[in-house]
Amino acid sequence: MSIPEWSHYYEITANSLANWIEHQGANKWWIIDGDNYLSSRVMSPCPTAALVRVLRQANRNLLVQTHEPQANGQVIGPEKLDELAEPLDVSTFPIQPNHPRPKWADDRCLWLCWKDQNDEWMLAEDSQATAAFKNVKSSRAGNT
Amino acid sequence: MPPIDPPEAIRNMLGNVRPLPPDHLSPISHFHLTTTEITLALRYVQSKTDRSSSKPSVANRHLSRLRQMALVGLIENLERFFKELAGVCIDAIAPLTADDRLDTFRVSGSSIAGHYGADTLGRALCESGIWLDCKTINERFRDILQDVATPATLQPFQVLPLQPHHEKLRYDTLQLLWQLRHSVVHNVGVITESDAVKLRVLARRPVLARHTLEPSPIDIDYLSDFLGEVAESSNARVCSRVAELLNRINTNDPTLIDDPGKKAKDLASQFRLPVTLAGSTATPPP
Repeated sequence: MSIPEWSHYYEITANSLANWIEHQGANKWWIIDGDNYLSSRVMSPCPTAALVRVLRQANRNLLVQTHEPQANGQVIGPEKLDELAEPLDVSTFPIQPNHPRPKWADDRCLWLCWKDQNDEWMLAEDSQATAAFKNVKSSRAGNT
Repeated sequence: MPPIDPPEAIRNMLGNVRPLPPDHLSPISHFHLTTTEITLALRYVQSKTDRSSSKPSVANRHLSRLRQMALVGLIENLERFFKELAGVCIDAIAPLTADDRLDTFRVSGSSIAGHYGADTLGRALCESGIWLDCKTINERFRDILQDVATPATLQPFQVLPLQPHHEKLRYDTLQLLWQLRHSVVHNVGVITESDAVKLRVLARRPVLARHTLEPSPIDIDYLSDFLGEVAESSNARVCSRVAELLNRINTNDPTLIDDPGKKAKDLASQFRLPVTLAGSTATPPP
């Protein structure tokens, strides 16, 4: 189901999304869950640089889900995404009351779909991979 | 309601399929997509178990088994990548040559009928084979991508080089992974005495026999990253060699390649890298 069918949404260019991702830090790793277009061009988890490169080549627009009732497809810039990104435990995997909080719970995510496609997918920070690759030489991380 | 016949149900399972993704014709794209699917399936289950009150020891036991299965899936994804990559090379080069480069593939008479179903020569020759050791992979790519000139003036091609040191380390690590895959596939994760001897030699460190392999979540992250590096470097190396051979063919006889611009565009799409043929450069579609 496409995001406009069940949610409020804004529109953003892939380049603006890339700018926001870049602003979160070069050492951060990311997950793209559910999008064949991006996942066939870059493996997840992936470092910021790899994801930004693919998004900048895309030259397409995206829709981003929001709870804001006034959102009705207005085009937004990258700065607005700070307000729309939600921790994973809020948006996707709610933690049971009194249950220990897992490390990934604070990873922020966005629910998106390409403007010309129906299927929504998730972009999320990946603290596990960010920690795992912090001091690792990896050509994919661009630090070899 | 009629009773369920298990043998019939197993046959019916063959109907439970989904179409390949749109980018599957590019080996490197197909590789990326499958690696992501396997890695994120584990992340998803891990997240689901982390958020509930299920007993951690139970969750860890089950997740450990899933990670073992993921390890095999990730390594076999690299095997499929090499087969698809070789298929692309054959389809690009073989129709323009008349030498012995395909003699490395032995197709038995009884299996020829099955190969008629494959839609390209490259797939027919590669997709049913076993590509699970570095030496075999190197030999097959060396033959497929041998020089088009006689006598050859190009160096024999190595998709998995043994020099310099970092390439040798990558080669040795991949050999270790093929062996690890063998242990998990054939003994459901148990490292037998004979596996332990081989793994000890390949890893140059003690390996406990009669134990079950239990990869950690971070092991899977490092494994998928390593395999990604192998796939991407191999893809770039093969792309460069294919372009070099096609340019030599075109220089020798400019009538052989009907439309170099289209050929370059097709190859750029398959390798997802820029390709230059006869002075015309094509870039992969966005």
